[in-house]
Amino acid sequence: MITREQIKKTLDEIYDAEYGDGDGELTLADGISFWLQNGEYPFDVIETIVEAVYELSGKPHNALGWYAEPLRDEWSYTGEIAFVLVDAESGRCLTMHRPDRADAEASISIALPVTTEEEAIDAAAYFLRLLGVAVEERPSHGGDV
Amino acid sequence: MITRKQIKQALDEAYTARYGGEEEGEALEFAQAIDDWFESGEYPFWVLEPLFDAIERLSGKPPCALGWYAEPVCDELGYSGHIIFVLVDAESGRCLTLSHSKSLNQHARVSVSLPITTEEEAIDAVAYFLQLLGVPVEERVSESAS
Repeated sequence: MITREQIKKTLDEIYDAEYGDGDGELTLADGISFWLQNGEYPFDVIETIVEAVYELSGKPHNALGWYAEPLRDEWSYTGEIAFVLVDAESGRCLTMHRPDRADAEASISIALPVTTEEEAIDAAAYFLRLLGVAVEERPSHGGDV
Repeated sequence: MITRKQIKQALDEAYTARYGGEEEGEALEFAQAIDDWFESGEYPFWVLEPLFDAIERLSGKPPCALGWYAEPVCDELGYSGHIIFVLVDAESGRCLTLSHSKSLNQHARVSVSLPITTEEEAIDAVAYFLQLLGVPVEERVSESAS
C-alpha cells in the first residue's frame, strides 16, 4: 500500500527536480502558494500531480491520457482543477460518472480542490485508486470532545 | 449519408429550440450565435449546447448517450476561436477523441481542438464528431477553383 507520506515525498521530489534546483528546498506547497498568489496558469502544479501518479502507479506515459483545466470564476482561479483521465490501452474514461437518472448527462471530468499540499496528495491518491493502486486513507481530523 | 446542408439545418433548429425568439415560428440562425460569442467575449454555452444537440440528433443517439467536456481556448487577448473537446461514449465509457502515442514518454491525447469562428467551421466540427460516431458525412467542398 502506498502511504500519504510516500505521495508527499514523490510530489516534492518531482516539483523540486523540475522547477527548483534539485536540492530539496522547493516543495509542491510552494508551487501551490505561488499559483494562488500570482494567478498564472498552474502548469507546474498539474504536471507534478500527473507525474507523481505515473511514478507511483508504475505506468508508462503513453498508457494514460489526461486533460486538466484549472477552474475560474469571474475574478480568478477558484483553486479547483477539472481532470479527465483515460486509460489509453482500453480507451476507457476513468473519471466518467453516470448519474442514476437516465435523462441526466454523464459527467466525464472530476473537479478536485488543489489549494494545499494535503489536497494535492488527496488528488494523487484519488487517481491512483482509479488505477487500482491501494493508497492509505487520509487520517480523520475529527476527535472526541 | 448526412449532408452539410442537413447539419446546418440541424444547428439552426437546435439553436432556435433553445434560444428561439418570443414570436412563435421565428427561426434563428446558428451563425448569429458565433457572432454573438465574439462580440460578447463570454463563455459560449449558447454555441456549445446547440452543437451537442445537433450531433445527438443527427447521430440518432438517445439523449445523454454521450459525455462531453468542452473548453474554449483563451489567449491573452480573449477567446481564440478554438474549442477543446473531449467526447466519451457514455454507454461503453470509451473516449472517442483519444489518440495514442507510440512513445513511452509521451501522454496519450484525450482532446481535440477545433476552430469554430464561422458557421462552416461549426459544420466541420459536427461532421468530425459524427464521423467519430460512425455516421457517414458529406465531405466539405473544396473552395479552390481552377
